[in-house]
Amino acid sequence: MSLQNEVTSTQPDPRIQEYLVWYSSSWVVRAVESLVSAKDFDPSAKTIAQRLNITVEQAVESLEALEKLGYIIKKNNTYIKVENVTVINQAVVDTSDLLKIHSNLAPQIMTKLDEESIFTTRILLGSMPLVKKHSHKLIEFLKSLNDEGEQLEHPDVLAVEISIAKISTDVRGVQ
Amino acid sequence: MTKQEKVAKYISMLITNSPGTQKDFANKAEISASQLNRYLNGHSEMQLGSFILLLEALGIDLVEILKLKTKKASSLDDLDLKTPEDCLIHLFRGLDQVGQQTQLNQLVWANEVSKKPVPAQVKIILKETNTLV
Repeated sequence: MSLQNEVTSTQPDPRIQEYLVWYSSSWVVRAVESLVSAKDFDPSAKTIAQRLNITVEQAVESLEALEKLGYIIKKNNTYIKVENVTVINQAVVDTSDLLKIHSNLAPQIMTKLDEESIFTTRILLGSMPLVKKHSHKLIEFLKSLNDEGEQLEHPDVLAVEISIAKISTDVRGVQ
Repeated sequence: MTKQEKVAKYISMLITNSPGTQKDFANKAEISASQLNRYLNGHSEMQLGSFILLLEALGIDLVEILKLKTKKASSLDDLDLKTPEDCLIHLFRGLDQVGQQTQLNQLVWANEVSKKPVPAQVKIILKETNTLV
């Protein structure tokens, strides 16, 4: 798996592998990463911990992991997100690794759902080529959400999990 | 990319990162360098014997891998699992730390959405031990 940003690739750290695993398997570090882009971001570990309902240790570890991975940098007594680095797609990570990452994170997001959340479960007709044809709408939706969220004075941190699976088998030609 | 092409790609990478030339590995696999090259480029299929020899030259013992897999499968077949609870315990123990914490959180959540009260003790234990998710 190659998720480490080039910024830190020349500074080997024995914990890099551990950070990568954590980044790929826990919502905590992802949430801290998102929070760094918020207009009202306070770099105090205590504030981050309170805002995300995590422990102070988790907040400290997350900041350290993100910094070592090169996803955020320290600047003027705060942290800023390094642009265009945390795009994880099939170009850098194998599809099976992507599925592992998704399978770790998706159930964690589910546990944050409550009656106020937005959720839907549908079984419908379609095809994977059709899903691919329309998937840009979902990407645009996520981008708009994040772009406008970054403009809010006091944004929330949201978790979105989207899974579309083919559940039927191909029986064309079978009598 | 077909599985055959993927295997060829990985072998090509291993050869590149190993000491010795492509010709050295071809010799060890008892094939010609041009034949190995055709295989690595996906232009032809390699005989099983040559393939095993090539893997051995790369430090991969296919027989040992198969032996391990067979041992693992037979020990899994010997498990005495009778109920869904047995399965749950077995599968849970096989998870890594993140997996265990994720599944415990999910169980708590599933209980809560099922309107089944979660004992305070469970919440305390999870709060103390959940360090990753």
